[in-house]
Amino acid sequence: MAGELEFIPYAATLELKREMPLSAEKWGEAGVEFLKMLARGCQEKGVAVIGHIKGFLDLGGAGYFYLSTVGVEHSPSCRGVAAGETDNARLDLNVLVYGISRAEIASLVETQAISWSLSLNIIFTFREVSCLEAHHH
Amino acid sequence: MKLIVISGFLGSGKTTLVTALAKDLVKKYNRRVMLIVNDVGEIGIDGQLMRRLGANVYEIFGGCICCQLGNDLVKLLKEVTPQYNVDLILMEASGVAEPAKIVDTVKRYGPPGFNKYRVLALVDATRWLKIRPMLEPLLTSQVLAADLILINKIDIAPYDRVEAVVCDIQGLKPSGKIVTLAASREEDVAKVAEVIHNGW
Repeated sequence: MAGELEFIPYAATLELKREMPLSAEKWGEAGVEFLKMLARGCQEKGVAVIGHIKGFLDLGGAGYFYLSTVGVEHSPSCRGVAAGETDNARLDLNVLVYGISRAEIASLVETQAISWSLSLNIIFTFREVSCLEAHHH
Repeated sequence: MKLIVISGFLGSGKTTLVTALAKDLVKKYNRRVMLIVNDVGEIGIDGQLMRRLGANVYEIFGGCICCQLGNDLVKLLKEVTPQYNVDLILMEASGVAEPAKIVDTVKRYGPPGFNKYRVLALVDATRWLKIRPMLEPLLTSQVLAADLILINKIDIAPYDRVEAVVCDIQGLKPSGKIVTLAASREEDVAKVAEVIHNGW
């Protein structure tokens, strides 16, 4: 807890599947776009502070990307080692923000994931792994 | 054995710095380094990245080692430090950790063998001034506990903002040693590695 703001870490895993394979580079771009959407969504929901939104996009044999953003001012960073193409991936996601409830974060992530996946013809399964209490010192 | 706690708010660049620092300290200075990373989220994302980059890393996630997971940290240190002949532990704290509490926990309950404790705090130059008023006393506690304050992301923050952040930090901790850097630049990381290696 910092001041009056409550911090609740939220985590989820998205298993992603496409009918047609996508190049590793395109997967990376898609990951960046998803983090952008999440950051924008957080801002629109009235999040007081975006602590950190970060993801690990595992492309199996095609490599990986580490994705990270702290707000909407700068584009999310994306680094990793990836090549070739794949039709499936796993995205581990941590959304660490201040000022909205866990239910609101969960709803935001799921809504944005639906919209994002539709635009890329991705089918996804979604598993929320958050069960932490608010952080207090 | 020296313990260096790398603290700093969420997204301030700790993982980028720790990964590059460890590589430098091992390759250039032949240091025997152990990495411990604490991710406050339920999924250990930073550890996944470090492993892919070839680092041998111990991970504690799903809470903060300065409070809820202090016992896990002590248990881990007691288990792993006798197994390896390391001379330096780089411990990446979670972004919501108060580093003084971590050092205190290790001093009180950790295994024997530590003879030096240092805290390094990363400050995100792009947004420090904006978020500091909202996140007190956490952010101040991270800076006040630090032996070395690293003002990061100077490659993307405007020059006048970096200057303003330096002034703010100097006001907060007049005696603090401050370095400005971009943790994504190898030459900047090399400077920090040199400071650490030269007995800081």
